[in-house]
Amino acid sequence: MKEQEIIQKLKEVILPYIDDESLLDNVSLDAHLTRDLEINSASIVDIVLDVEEMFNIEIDDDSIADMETIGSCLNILKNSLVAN
Amino acid sequence: MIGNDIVFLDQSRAPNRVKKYLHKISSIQERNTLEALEKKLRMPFAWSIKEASYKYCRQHSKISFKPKAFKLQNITTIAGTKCIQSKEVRNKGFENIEHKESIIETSQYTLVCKSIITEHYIHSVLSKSRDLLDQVFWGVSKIDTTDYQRQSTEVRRKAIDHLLTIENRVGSIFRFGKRENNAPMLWVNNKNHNSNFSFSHDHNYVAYAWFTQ
Repeated sequence: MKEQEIIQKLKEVILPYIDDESLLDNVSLDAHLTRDLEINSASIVDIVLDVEEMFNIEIDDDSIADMETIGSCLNILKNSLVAN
Repeated sequence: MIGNDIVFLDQSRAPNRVKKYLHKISSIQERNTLEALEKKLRMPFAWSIKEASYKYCRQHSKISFKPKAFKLQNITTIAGTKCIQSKEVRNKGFENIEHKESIIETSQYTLVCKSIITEHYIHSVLSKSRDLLDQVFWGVSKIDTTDYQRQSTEVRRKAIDHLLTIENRVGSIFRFGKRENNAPMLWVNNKNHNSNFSFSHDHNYVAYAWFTQ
């Protein structure tokens, strides 16, 4: 799966958890999920579960802690897709 | 140091999602301990104590949030004559308030957490000792917005309102900043207030806790 395709799917997963959809317009890889996209921290686990379902992968417990930015999510997804 | 967290009791998650969520953030031993609570409270309670623990620990060292690293050891119900139900709560400590007391182990600390549970939310305040928790001022408010920035502003305003009922500081200028460890820090008339604050918000609820050294 191409990187842009993964990012697009990731944005689809994230969308229901943000109040201001415009925050996802031109979002950078550095964008922090809680600080920049204003996602409630409790929703990060929901995002992990949604991503697992969408990509049919399993994200390990340690990686949950690293899902802080769009870029780090992308890296975890790429690695998980290769591993799976 | 203290940490706090408020979790809105969101009933919109499907039971299967709640189960998966709980498995992501807790061990089998912890889930056994959580059976002391009503089923619908287990997941939000676990999140609340773990997030409060994380807020405490990140003030001491730079860590990322691994929910399973904060291990719930036990839960005790502390009976009280006061049962919190109001949408606007202000208090000091937890005397006479019905609450749950839990112990959380991390790789470095053994922490004590006190959680009030209402129909709408769970609010947890955590520190290293019960004595310190008796000195903590805390409050919960329902506000009319879920906007992140406004919640952040409102929770700080509510904490200042509470502080003004305790300290005679009318006319002072209050400003919150952040310490190097990311913990909120209060300046009053450009002077450090020497207090440790923790803020949280979820859905329409905001909560704060602080104690003065």
